[in-house]
Amino acid sequence: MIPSEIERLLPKVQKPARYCGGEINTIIKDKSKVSTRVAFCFPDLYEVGMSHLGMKLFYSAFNKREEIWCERVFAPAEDMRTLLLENGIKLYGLESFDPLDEFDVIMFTLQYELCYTGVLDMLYLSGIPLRQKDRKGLSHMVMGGGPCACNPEPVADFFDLFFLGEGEEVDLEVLDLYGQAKREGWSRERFLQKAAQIEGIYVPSLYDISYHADGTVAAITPKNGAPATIKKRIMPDFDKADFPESFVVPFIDVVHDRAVTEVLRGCIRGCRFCQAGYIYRPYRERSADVIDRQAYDLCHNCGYDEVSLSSLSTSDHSHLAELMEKMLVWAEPEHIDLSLPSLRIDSMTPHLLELVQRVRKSGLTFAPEAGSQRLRDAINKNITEQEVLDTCRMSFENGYTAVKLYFMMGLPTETEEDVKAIIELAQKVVDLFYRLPNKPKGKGVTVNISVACFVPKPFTPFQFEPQDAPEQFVAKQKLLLETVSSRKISISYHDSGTSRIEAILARGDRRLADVVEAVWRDGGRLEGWEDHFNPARWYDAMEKAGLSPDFYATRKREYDELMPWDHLDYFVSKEFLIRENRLTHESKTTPNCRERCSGCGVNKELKEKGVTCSGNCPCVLR
Amino acid sequence: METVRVFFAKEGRLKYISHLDVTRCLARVFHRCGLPIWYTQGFNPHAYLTFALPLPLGVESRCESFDFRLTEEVNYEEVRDRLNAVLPEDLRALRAAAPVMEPGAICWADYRLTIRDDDPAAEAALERFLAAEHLTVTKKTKKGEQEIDLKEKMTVQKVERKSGEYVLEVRLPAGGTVNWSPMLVTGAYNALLGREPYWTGYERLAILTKDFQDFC
Repeated sequence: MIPSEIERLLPKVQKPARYCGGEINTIIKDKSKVSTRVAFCFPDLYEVGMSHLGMKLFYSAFNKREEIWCERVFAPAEDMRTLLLENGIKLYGLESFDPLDEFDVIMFTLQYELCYTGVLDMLYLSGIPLRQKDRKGLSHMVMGGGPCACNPEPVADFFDLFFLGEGEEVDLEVLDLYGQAKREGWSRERFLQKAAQIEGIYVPSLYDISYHADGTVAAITPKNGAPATIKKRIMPDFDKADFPESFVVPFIDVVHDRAVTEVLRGCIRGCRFCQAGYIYRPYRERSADVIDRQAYDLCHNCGYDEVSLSSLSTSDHSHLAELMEKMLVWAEPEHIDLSLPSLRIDSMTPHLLELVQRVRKSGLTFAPEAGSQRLRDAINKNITEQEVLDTCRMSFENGYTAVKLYFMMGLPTETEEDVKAIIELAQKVVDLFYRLPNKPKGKGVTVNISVACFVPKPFTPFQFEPQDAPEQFVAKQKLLLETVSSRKISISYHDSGTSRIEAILARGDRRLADVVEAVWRDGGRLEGWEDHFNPARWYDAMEKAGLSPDFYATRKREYDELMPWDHLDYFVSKEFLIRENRLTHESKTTPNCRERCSGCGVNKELKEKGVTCSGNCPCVLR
Repeated sequence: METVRVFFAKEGRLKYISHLDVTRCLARVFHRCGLPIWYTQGFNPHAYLTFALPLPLGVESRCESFDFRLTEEVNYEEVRDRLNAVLPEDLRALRAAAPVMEPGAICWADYRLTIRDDDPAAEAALERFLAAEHLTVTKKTKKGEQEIDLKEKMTVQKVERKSGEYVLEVRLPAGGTVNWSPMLVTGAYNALLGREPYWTGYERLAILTKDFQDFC
């Protein structure tokens, strides 16, 4: 039952279903019988958060434990937010409708930098003090995880602790410790000091940061027995990692409304711009049998008519065709579609294309990332132009008349020639279509190219690199449009404004906490949404804080600079990142992990953990 | 192949789920219920599903129905029970039966409006609502806005006055040609009150033919 003071707000808002819970597979517990109440918060709208696999994983894993009740919380849209404030109602869990400040643990997943102001707003709407230092006792312990936790420094002052790496095991270890702390009446400080001893737990308040006069970090000093470096956690046996048998199925249309299986974790490719490709190492595959069973269970427990085979690079799975054939046996007669979101352009075989076509009739999307071979080599994309053209030819011969190609601009070492090469490559694809004797009859071709602005990220070989300045991006976008030679090519590109703020936050330090808070106070909440985002708020706040956007975004870092995240250990060594950065400037590639071990550092860590594995690189598990 | 009509209740928080979202929800329920559902045979096969009369967002009802098709015969109790086993809370199959009438036969629907407000002005507004000769409201249609006089086709079936709670039961035209939402009634009432009351609850009580028979 929805409490009447909340219910009377619902007829006044857009999409009230965002705020009423009650979806299929929702978990309701008796709150008098649980000892730890967790609010799993996604700092964005319901439709975005409900598409996120991580939330589903933890919702299921936490709720399997009798003594824990985990609920879902999303950022309210502006209309609901106003009504909550006007009526003095706090942000609440969608399962119990209890206000968030009654929860023990407030957990945030940090998927993208622009969500940081959303985190603050959710704490504010819950009546929870924003700053860690202002929270007392054991209640509402604020924890964070997800990709942005690999450099959480800009939001470190707002969190009690962060989970580094994969949360499946360590989250529950921390909740167990929290349960003990509550039973035994520990202080907040004692709990945090104990938590800091768990591998994978970073308690930012236990580290002092000092800065050089030029603004770079001078030292990161642990205190109260906290470790000097904090290692991330991984699940070595990926087949045994917990996976939900069912998802909460939203009533309203959400961004990704389908069953999702995670077919592999990590990536063998080592594309130098891709943070996920480094922070999720080592590469681990789930076996076809396990994926097939998980997909089957999910579809039957949720009623979904689509299942996505998700990963960083699904076509790298060594048994993908076998897996798809296995799944099609039950999926086809039940009218369930398979979707493959991440296919590499060099992995397309006629057999795979035929399988993809049996289940999906929409267009094909590939990501060459750069237009010229030289730049593709410099970013280690390891795709040749011939492979791009071969795959497009194969697609056209199979009846496709549209392809979508993803690119980035502002990549390190990029020149005007490289930008023009994006259009040249697209033109070659167009020409190829018209030269084909067996092209689809009576139809034209469309090559959609989408160009994103590059954001340098921590734990990549490009963490040292400057981002292009806004005027460079604008000039390159102009050049791109001028170079287009055919109406068969359509271009879309992103506004560089958001990419610059992302770059500032991605490699930011703790001094940015004041900026994040000031932007939030200035009305910045759902900054990931174009209609909410306002770069001026960020520049204002930085100016007031005496910080320079260029220092964070467009400054080149020396190899020996102490990075704000250098005390966090994602197993990928800085020496390796420097080596890869040097190769970038020589436009030289590094083979993928299946071909040869590049000595990124993960191998050492696995050896210590006694994990045995097969493959040419010891880190390619299974 | 057999067409089955399921009468269902949509209550509680499910009243905030739109008609389109209920359609999607039922498509998923069909996947899970284990009944031999008939799928359309086109390019993009989907379960055949049609509703007698869409229910506006925010309205509860115990007299809704949808039709779907089975490829083999299943007894009606089993159809109901299998659906109820997988339907979300607050969406309940009441009974299944062979369709008797065409949705085109629908002419009227009865609604109950429950207005809660402690201010005596709420009751005064109700009396003015009942006594008014004309109640002109603006109805939004696909073709644009249209002025209508509620008193032309609305009949008040029942009025209950308790302290701070007023129940108003009305009969409104419904179906494919003229379809009046109970929100139009609220619009007229709120205009007389000069604001929104603390709470207005809606329930559809019956779907009727031109002879005021229950749609079945």
